[in-house]
Amino acid sequence: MTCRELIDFIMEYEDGTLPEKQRVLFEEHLSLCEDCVHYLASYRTAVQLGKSLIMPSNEKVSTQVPEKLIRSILAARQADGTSLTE
Amino acid sequence: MHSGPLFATIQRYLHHEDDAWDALQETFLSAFRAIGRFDGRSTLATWLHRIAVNAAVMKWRSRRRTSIRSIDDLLPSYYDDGHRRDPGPAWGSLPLDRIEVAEMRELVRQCIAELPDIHREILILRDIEEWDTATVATHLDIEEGAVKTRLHRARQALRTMLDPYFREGSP
Repeated sequence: MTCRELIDFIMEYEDGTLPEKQRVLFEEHLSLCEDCVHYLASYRTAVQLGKSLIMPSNEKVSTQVPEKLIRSILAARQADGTSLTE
Repeated sequence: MHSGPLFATIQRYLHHEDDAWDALQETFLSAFRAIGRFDGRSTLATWLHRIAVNAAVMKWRSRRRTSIRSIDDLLPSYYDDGHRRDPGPAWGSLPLDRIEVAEMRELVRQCIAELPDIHREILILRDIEEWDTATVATHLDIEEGAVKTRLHRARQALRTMLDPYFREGSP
């Protein structure tokens, strides 16, 4: 496996979807190539930064929908169902 | 009406409060118009969340002033034998002694903003909104393989843009 192939496979490796044969080659290459070890570490850091730092306060947003909104939408749907459908 | 969670979602993409309120209003209008197509396969919360993200991204795109980088310029380049050109030094730890957390967040946000639309939107939907690959593929009407390819490229591009700030020994 070349450095190029390793970098192409990083996401599947991280997801755990890389087939066994390629995973072995991937890890063999990592054991021999310091540059790819560094690249993998920096890739992981970049992904984590993208996932966490864009959040306004590192808080997950609640997916709870206000009951009043649900009731309003359902009431409108019942009152005039045809006009609500595009 | 308590619209805090949806508004918070929208504010991840829109810094200007007026734009965020516009996008929230558009979210409710879109939901109202499309409620007849809500089939119950997802929760109403998830359905509204997707509409809010879409409204925010559309508003953000219309107001964008950031110049967009070429994805090819942000991907690694290789020699014919597959070795990477200019591998550079390892990344050090997060430079939080030099950059405040708020500055770091803004830096990452700016880097993401410079990605081409097709890569930025997939990075947002997969990595930040945590939609699964199939949902993103359906939402954007593309193959799941294309979602994976674009996400990997977007992540590599983000890594390239952050590289100068994290190299060991960088100022």
